Amino acid sequence: MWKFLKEILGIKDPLPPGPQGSDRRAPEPLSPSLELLSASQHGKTSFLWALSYMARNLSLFWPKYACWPQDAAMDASFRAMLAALEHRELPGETSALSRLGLSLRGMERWGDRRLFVEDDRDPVFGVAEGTATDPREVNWGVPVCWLLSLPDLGTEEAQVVDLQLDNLIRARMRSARSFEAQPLRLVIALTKADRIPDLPPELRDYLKNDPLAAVVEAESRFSGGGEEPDRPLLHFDERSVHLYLETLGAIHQKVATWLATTLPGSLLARRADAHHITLRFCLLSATGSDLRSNGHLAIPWRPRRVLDPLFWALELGCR
Amino acid sequence: MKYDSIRHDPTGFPLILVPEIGLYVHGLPVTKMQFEHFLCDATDGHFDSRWYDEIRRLNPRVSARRIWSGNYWNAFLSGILPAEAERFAAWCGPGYRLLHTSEWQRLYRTLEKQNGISLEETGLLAGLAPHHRELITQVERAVEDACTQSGDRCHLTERTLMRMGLIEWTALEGPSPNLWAGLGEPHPSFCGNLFTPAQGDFIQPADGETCRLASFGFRLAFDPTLVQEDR
Repeated sequence: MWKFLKEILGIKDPLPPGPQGSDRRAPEPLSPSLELLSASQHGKTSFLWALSYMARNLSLFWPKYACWPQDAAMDASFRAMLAALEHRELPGETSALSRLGLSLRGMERWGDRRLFVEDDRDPVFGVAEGTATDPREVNWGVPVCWLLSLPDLGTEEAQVVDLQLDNLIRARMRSARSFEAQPLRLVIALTKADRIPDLPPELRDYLKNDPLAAVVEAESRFSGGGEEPDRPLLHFDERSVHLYLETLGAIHQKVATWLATTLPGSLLARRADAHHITLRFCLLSATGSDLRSNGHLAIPWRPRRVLDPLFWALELGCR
Repeated sequence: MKYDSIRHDPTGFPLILVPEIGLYVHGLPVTKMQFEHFLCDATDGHFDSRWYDEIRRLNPRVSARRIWSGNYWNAFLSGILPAEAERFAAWCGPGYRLLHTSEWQRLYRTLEKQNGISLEETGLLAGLAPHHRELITQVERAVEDACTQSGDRCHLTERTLMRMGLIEWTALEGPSPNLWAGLGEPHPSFCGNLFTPAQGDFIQPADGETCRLASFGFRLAFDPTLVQEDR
């Protein structure tokens, strides 16, 4: 009975304690708890780096929050991502499989969760592109986040988005018969949104004014040894999280309305509707700018709204 | 604010008096057309054809007639280093210099309040040579189109390209290890960004004084207090 209730309420058993814990248990086998899918060059690796950075800093908002990599390999991968971001590196074409596996404990509203995502030759779009010849199995039982970079789609390729969604739906139908009865929970995250030329001003302002990023940046400047800046305070308590999610919902609506005025967007909406997909839109910029020099960013990374896909996934039932 | 005083730099491009900061300021960032006057005059080997090839590789040239909302930034001189911009200022004559960061920000706030005024209405286009006038009006039209496409406002901040233009080199004030910082919010197609220059968002690139960045340009101010002009 308890097990059943826990399952439908999404309550997790307590996580094993962190690396310093005395009663540390062997980590459980992992499968992705958030599926990240994207065509190549649509910002998956950058997103993962920026997500790592922000996930590490969530303790600035949540006093009881802690996160740690789930094993030594994850730890190395996590550190490598953070170091690359610190050195203003930019990802090249994904050449090796890297994984982000974090235990997230003490999140307001969502409690304790495990986050496990893979940055690989994409198991859906990579097959179509010919880069993934032996794709891994996608876990269709968790929310799927599709990273989509509109600036990297030519206007003449309006139907590409529709075709990509079709690929995704077909891939799910092929490999996940057991999930057919459940609607696909799909978060479409518009990446590289700092480069979208016709993004409505209110959406651009939403990206610019990321309260979580503002706190992290202020803290970074402070800990960097500089003068103490105006340190924005954010108590991301239950009420604040609720308000943030309300805003997230409003942004979803605005993105949907804006996309509906474009050909790719209207095709996408039609197909999603036809397949009864639970669709959520958000937008983000992992780097915050495209100011590059010699393969590096010329200024530090400024991730904006990169936690939004994670928040949507948590809301849609990330386990 | 009333813009009733215009002067022209040695290339014939207009600067406008902005009483709020006590300076004449270029109506737009420095264009390639302006800089080419300087290149013809430059006598040392630094500003040679290879130098200009590199600049145009970073941000290609466009003629006035081919300017539209998707390329108007090509009309401007960018990829320049701060020291090189200072050389141009010195060539323009006494009193010319780059803006300080605080001046740039005050100028931005001043222009932000000027709703619906065109560059023609400011008097900026009066007395211009036809090819200068054509370039400026084509750029203004392109910016208007870009704003319409994104549903954005088109105030004087946009028409003068303090927004939707380049990142402009400005001189940093106060104690700082750096001498220069960029301010501006370029068009997203020119350089993806979420900069907020009015809120003190200084862009200080690593190696900014030695490494060329395609989206960095400049505009000059003329400070009347620095010169005793012949009357």
